[in-house]
Amino acid sequence: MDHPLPLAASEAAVLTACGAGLIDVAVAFGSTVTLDIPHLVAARGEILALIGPSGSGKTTALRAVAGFVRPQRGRIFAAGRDVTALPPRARGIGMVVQSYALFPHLSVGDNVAFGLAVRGVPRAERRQRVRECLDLIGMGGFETRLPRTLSGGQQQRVAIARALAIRPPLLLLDEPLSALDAQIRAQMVDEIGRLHARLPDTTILYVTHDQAEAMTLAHRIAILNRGRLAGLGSGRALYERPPSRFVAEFLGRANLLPIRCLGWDGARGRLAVACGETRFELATPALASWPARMLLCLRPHHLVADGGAPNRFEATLRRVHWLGAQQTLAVEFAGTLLAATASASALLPPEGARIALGFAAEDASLVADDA
Amino acid sequence: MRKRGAGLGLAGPPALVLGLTLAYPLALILGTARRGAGVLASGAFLAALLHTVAIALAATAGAMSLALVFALVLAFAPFPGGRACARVAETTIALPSFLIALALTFAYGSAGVVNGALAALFGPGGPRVDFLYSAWGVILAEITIYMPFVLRPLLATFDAIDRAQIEIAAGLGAGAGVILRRVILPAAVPALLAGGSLCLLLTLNEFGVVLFIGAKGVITLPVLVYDKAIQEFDYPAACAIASVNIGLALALFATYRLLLGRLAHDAVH
Repeated sequence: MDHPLPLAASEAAVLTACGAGLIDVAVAFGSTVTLDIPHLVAARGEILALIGPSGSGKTTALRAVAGFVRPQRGRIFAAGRDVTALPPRARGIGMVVQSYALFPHLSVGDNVAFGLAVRGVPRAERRQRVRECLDLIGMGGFETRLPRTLSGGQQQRVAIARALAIRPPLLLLDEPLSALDAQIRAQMVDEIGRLHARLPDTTILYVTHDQAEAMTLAHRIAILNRGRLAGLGSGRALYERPPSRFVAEFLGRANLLPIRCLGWDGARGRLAVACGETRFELATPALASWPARMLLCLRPHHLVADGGAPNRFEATLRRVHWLGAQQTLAVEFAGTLLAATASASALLPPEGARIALGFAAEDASLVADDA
Repeated sequence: MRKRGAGLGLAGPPALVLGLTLAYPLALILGTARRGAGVLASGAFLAALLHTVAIALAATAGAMSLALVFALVLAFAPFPGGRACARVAETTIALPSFLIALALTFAYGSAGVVNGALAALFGPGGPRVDFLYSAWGVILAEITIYMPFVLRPLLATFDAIDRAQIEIAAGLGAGAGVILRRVILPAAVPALLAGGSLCLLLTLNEFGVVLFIGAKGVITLPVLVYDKAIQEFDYPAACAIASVNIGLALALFATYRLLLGRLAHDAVH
């Protein structure tokens, strides 16, 4: 591993108070760099979700924090400590994985007590803590059961109790709900949220491929792409003001239209842009300079049939799907197929006809075309 | 009723074949054994029984230990060529047992490679490595032959262990020793017992290796049966000794099937 550079005093102070941090971390397998994170820090008590497509490096990042992957460069912090050089057993981190990884020959109680026994916690205290942890996740009374007699959701609860039993300041959850069916998964998301409310000082790094889980649970979301950090912020901020084309397309569904900037009206706080011959006005902050290639980002639910002024335009209706609560439309505009919505009761023209659409100036955002 | 009759009809031929090739000869042996039961009180029988059990237990313990170490290294500390080593070890299952005994004779026998090298280094004299023609030689040969019978199920078990279990244990503070003792070995117990039972069964009945090595004073039950039947023409005594051997083997086989059933049950659940 390269010798890490010394940290600035201000950054060192931040890191000693952080819940988890990756500073200038690079992980490579052979000549392939799978993770390259200049700076990613979770505050103490924060739930930070790591999301991204398959192979984006999110699990590698988590395993680097846990100590199962050795970075070629950089520093890793857990609960304010620099743990880069420590083996996994000395990091004091709880971890839960998708496969639960319960020890099949041990009872539920012995699984939960495993970390305590290894640490030499006296038997009486161990029993007490096991009971507390099982009660915490609603599995009190299951101490003597073997893992194979439990459902998937129950096994995952036991895995969480086992991780919490050692009272870790940092909990790593690696796609913990992926093996569960949709209904149980929704319940477990709520339970993890409630659990964190009872353990507010515990920092959680939560790897998931399910954006809804990340949006529901996390205070902030880190989006990874090809081993690099593509976006970091609250789910709402990333969704409403995506920093890049990748984030806009990855997080939810986005209509992206190439535009050119016409001018900034400082008095009204509006940016005038043009897509082909159609002019739009956007409520975006003033920019010091315009990137060469810009895209207008519109979420489908912001693009509505008979939308409000000033951003009205006509498109060709290609397809309509009635979904009960609303209708989703596929429309063609300026050679691009866009997704839009209409209320369930809206009367729409037949497919192939022209349709008036619109969006509010505040609902659009601009992203750099980084494709 | 017709279905039942058809079923009985289908069961007839295999039952007849089994009756003629297995049940009838076994019944003859057991029937004849009563007339030769006196041999079971002889010193030769008791010595053979002791040798058989002691050699089988030692060879099984050796095969289990060696297979466990080998499987642990191959599964959790793989090295270049490790899989090839495992394949070579497994191939010994396909070789006739006397060939292994012959190979050991070439390697460690009085005129073998090791004694030849030692004689070249330290001058002529009696064989310096001289264990092969004793019970130890038989045990070494049987360990070599039967170790793969334990190695195979152990490797399959270790391959099936979720590596996340080991990582979680390490994350919870367990060192390598604790992980081995509390995570890996408990998972290996059914495979170890099933492989070990099969190994014990086969070493208990081993005849070729003992005869081929010709260890001085090492008479096991199968060899004693051979001596009584072929050299002394004392068939009732041979049958009585064989009956004891059959009883031991069947008891072990039942244990083996029981453990195998448990292994399959654990794999399913």
